[in-house]
Amino acid sequence: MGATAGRGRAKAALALALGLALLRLLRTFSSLIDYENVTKTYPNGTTALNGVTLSIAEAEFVFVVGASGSGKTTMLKLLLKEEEATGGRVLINGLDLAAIGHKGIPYLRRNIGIVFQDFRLLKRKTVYENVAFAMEVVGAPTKDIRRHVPWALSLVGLSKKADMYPSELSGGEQQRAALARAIINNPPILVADEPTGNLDPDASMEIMKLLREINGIGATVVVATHERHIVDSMRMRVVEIDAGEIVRDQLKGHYRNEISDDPLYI
Amino acid sequence: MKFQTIRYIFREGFLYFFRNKLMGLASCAIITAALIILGVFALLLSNIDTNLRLLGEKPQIRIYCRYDLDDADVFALEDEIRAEPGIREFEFIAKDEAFLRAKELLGEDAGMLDGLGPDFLPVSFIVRLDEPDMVEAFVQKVAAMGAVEKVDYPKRAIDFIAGISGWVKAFGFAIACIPMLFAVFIISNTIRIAVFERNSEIGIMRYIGATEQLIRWPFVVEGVLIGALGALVAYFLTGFGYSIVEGSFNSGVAAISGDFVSLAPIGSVSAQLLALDLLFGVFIGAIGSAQAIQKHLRA
Ligand SMILES: Nc1ncnc2c1ncn2[C@@H]1O[C@H](COP(=O)(O)OP(=O)(O)OP(=O)(O)O)[C@@H](O)[C@H]1O
Ligand SMILES: [Mg+2]
Repeated sequence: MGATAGRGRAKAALALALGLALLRLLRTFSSLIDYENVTKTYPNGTTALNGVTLSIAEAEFVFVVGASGSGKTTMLKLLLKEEEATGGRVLINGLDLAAIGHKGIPYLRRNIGIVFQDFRLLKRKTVYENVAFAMEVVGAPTKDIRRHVPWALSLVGLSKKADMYPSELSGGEQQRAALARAIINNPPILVADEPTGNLDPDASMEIMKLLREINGIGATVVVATHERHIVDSMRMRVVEIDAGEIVRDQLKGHYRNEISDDPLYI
Repeated sequence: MKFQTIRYIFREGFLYFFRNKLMGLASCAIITAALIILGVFALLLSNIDTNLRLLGEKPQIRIYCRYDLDDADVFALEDEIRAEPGIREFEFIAKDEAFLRAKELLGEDAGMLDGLGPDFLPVSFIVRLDEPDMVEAFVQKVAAMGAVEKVDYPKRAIDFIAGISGWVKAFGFAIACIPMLFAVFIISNTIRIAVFERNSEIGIMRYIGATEQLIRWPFVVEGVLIGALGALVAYFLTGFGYSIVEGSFNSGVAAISGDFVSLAPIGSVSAQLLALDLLFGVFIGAIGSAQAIQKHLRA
């Protein structure tokens, strides 16, 4: 009897030690973005996301792939609180986005740089003004604007085109201007929805490299994309969704679920 | 709000205003028209009011005593009249003084009075009341007094002005309000189109974390600028028109009526007119644009 009790105590101690170690591990890899069993049903009845659970750690780079209509854009919109989850929770830094009121949305978005397929630059402002605008909007002091905008433009290689209007730029250059705007306020998170959808392969590769560079400086980057070749060559974490459900989550993944030796990411 | 934010709002507001010239000018014209109507009514009301007050202050009621009164009777009558409420000023005009005034009035023709002494004129009182609308009752009461020969007062003018004053006051503002509402509607529509044209810009602003305040205020500034410009044009047109009307009225009607009724000179009303136009212009512009953008932001 005594021996059984001793063995039981040892088991409990081991379990506790394991639990503590796991907790510590969890804390070091604590996530910046969490989707917890997220469901999104649009008012017209379309269910775009169905039980999505996903954790993205700080400074991670994630490709979100999947067929058209699979729910990639919806995932990103939930992060920006452009749409609300109808089930589950979306958290940033442990903060449930459902707790953010209407008035809080602008302040949430100041922490998230955004890049779209169609660039969305202000047509009537120059490249410089477009980037400066994002700082003005958050009420940054003029002297900071004068210092930071040239820095961001040089980062994306647009210093020489600062005074041109978007219509005078190539698609790749416009997207680089949009990237400069997205990072000008040093957001911890950068979200890109098919950023290369309108670009030729070379320009696309350049934009992706820039995104990776920005990720290297410390930003958490989430990119929804259809760029098979780029995803395959960059070998970053890949999350695939299909009909609103996550069907694959791979470290150093491919665009398609090719047979590989890479470990599954839990 | 930070200084940069305020500067941003004004800069963008001015940009919006100049970018939107055609619609802006059309709305300006509507506001101008509305404010001219408002201005005309305001000037009319203000002149009626001034004239009434002037009439109230003029030596408007003259009470002539009977010829056969002796001094004691006159004093008794004076006491009786003075006992009436609402008298602002009371002036006693003795026979001598009345005679001097008559001579003065006749000027070159004063010779007519040669050989006549002050005795042919009656003693009289000149009374000014506090309120013009007390005149009628006062006159009736005094005329009924035994020692009173006759009471003179500008009955027609007072009746006329008091009559149209009530009417104009009642309907004037209501009528002036209709074009104002119309102007608010038009400006609201102009701004709504402006907002619609900048829909993608607003979308971009929202994505980069602009607050609703920052999105809304430049449009309000634009509306206010449209309103202010419309107000200035209305002010100059109304002022110019008024100075012409005032000139011919005062040399015509006023001269005939012995300055009984006269229009205030443009110099004395222009400041109020400008303030009124600007106040309402800016108000219309702000309300119209705030309403338009509010609808958009809620959608
Ligand atoms: N506002 C909306 N109202 C109703 N249904 C919507 C809405 N937005 C998206 N959907 C639907 O939700 C599903 C997911 O759409 P979503 O835009 O997230 O797909 P996606 O993966 O981004 O596609 P794509 O690769 O073509 O951009 C689709 O079936 C779409 O029709
Ligand atoms: Mg999409």
